[in-house]
Amino acid sequence: MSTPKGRLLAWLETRLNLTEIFSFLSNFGLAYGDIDTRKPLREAVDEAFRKPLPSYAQWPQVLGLLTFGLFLFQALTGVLLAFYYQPAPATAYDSVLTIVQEATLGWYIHQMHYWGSNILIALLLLRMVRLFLHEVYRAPRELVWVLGGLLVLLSVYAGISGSLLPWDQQAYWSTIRSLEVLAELPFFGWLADFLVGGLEVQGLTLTRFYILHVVLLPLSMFVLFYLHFAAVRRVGLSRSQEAAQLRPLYPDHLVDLATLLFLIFGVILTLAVLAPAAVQPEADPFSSPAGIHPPWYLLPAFGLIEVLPAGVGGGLISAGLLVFLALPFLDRTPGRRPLALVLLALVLAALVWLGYTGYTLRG
Amino acid sequence: MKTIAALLSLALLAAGAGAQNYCKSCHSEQEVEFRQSVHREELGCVSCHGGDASTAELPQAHGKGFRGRITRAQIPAFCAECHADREQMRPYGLPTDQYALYQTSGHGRKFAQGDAKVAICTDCHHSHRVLGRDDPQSPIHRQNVAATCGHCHADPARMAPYGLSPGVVADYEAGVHAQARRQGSAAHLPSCADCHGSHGTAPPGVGDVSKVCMHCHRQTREFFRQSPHFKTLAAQGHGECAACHDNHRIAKPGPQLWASACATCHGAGSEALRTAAQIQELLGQAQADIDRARATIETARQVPLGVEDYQQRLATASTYLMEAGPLSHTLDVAAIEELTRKSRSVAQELETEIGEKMEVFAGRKLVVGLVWLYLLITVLALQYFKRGSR
Repeated sequence: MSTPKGRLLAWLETRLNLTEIFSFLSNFGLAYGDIDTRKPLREAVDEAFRKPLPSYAQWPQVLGLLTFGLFLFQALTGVLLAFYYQPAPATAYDSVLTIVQEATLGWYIHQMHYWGSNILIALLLLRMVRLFLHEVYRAPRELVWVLGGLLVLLSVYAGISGSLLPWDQQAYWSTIRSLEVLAELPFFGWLADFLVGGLEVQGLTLTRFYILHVVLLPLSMFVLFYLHFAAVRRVGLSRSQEAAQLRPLYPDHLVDLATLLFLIFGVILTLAVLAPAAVQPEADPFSSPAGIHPPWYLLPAFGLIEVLPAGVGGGLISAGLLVFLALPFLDRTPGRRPLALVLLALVLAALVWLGYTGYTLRG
Repeated sequence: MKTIAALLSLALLAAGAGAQNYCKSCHSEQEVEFRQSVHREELGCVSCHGGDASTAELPQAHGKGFRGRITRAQIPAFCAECHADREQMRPYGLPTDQYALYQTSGHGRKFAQGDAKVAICTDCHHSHRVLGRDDPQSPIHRQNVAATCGHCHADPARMAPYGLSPGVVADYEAGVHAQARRQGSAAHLPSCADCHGSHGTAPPGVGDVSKVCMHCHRQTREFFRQSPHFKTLAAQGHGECAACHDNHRIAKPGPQLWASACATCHGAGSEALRTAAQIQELLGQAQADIDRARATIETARQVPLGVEDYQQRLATASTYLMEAGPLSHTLDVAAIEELTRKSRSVAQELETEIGEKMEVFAGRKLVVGLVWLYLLITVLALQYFKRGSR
């Protein structure tokens, strides 16, 4: 403890319960199992790192951890964008141009935030498929499913609110398409009216979407992530928890996690450079460009609303969302897996078909 | 109490004296139309048809002073009773010469000869539902004039006795003016009445067409006067503008017209066609350079580069080319070339500049490569460290 680092740690330790902070952080997948907050930090960390990993924390069960890493990445890039962004119709577009044309690395941050959001939503959805396949919604894991499902919905909301912020033609008109979908939903439809804050998408809409996107939704998502991980730590992610415990947390698990995070960063950067989102001309409420769709995650809903008579599509979507969230309480009998798999395949095929329909309609 | 009763009876009297219109009990259709008319405030049924609107009893209603239906033969003079009267029209700021003009028009002259099938006031303005010309629903609104004229002039059966072509309206609709008007780009673009007149309708003679076009295309006509065509076409009795541009189906002018129009008079291999080919090439090259520059700017905008400056310079290049269009009527190749050279030089210059800037952004792919290299090395090192620590 005679090194300067050791002395600093000891100085802090007498004034702060560092172990308790470490224990809180471990709620987000940094460590597993209980941590004795009465022990000094070094000891607690050593103990946690040496602990063999429960099997539920291994691939492919790390998707949740990956999404949280991505969420932090979005928060970081989002904060950097917010340093320059000005959320008012008169200045929003110019400030985005400043970000992508003048700010150091601004173009990269902007594009990576865009791609990061898409991948985050995709991973959260993929994770729900994973949970369904491994039946991680049966008692006592109902909350794992429900909280995960809510995270999907909130991330979609964050995506919609974020896509308006650049205030270009694509942003403006794709938001109008998204709101067309929301307005159709019974129970949720009033949200569209509330969010718009008037008869059309205008300044107040931008203000509301901004505050939703940078404060309310990230905060709610953070709380949901925390609760979700808390549930996972209580009940585990896998039904085969009692299986052999293989590797220690450190270095095996943490190194693998770092590897995955590095790789996903590479993927985001590659997509940002090879398939960047074009900055369109400034939003013009009086000129609707052709070929504008809602974001991809709303395309199936958009397609359904276009295909079915008014009122029916929206009702179906609302019902579908409720069934999706309440699945653990609807499907209580284990077994019948072939039927469930066929249903999942049918639902996925229907989503793809509806998404394609939504994409081609009004192109 | 007495006061209230007195007031009540007064109110009742006033209501009774108010113009209770009984005409509409039988003529409801005309009433509905008339209610939309510009005449609705000042005039009523009896103003034109006479009779008594205040009674539903037919003998009295269609009794004293009743004129009934006004025949086609009566209509122009009947409308003129008010519309040619300066005193009556003054409050509305309306001209009073329409009837006089009408009598000089092709329609009016035929009408005077007893032909009741030609257009009269109500054919274009409607009888009961007379709308102002600024009303988009009005048949004489600028956007509707071609359809209104076409009601008769696109009808082969109606045009046959007069030996007139029923194709003129379709020709006009296919022309550049109608196309631009439909796209809403400019409400002032000409329709039938702008060249032929409205009340004094008469087709411009062959020699008049150029003067009609000159209302808008003044500069072009000035250039045309400097060309050898000016005197030759006049001497041969051909129209000026219509000889190349047609009169109703007026094609969008551009380089391609130099290939098609000139060859209708000039033989293959002639000096004139060589000049035409030269001019076509000059205009075509400038247009191609501008198109290419516009595409490059669009690519740059998506990068995104700031392109406002480039867009302004592209507008300058387009303006030079736009000037070259009218100037080309002089057939002065050197003068045309000077303008197209300026246009091309601006377009090419900005394309080169954008190209240089774009090279900077091509470096992004290199960045991705380098980052991947770094990531892979780090990942390999981490994995190596993991194995080593077991």
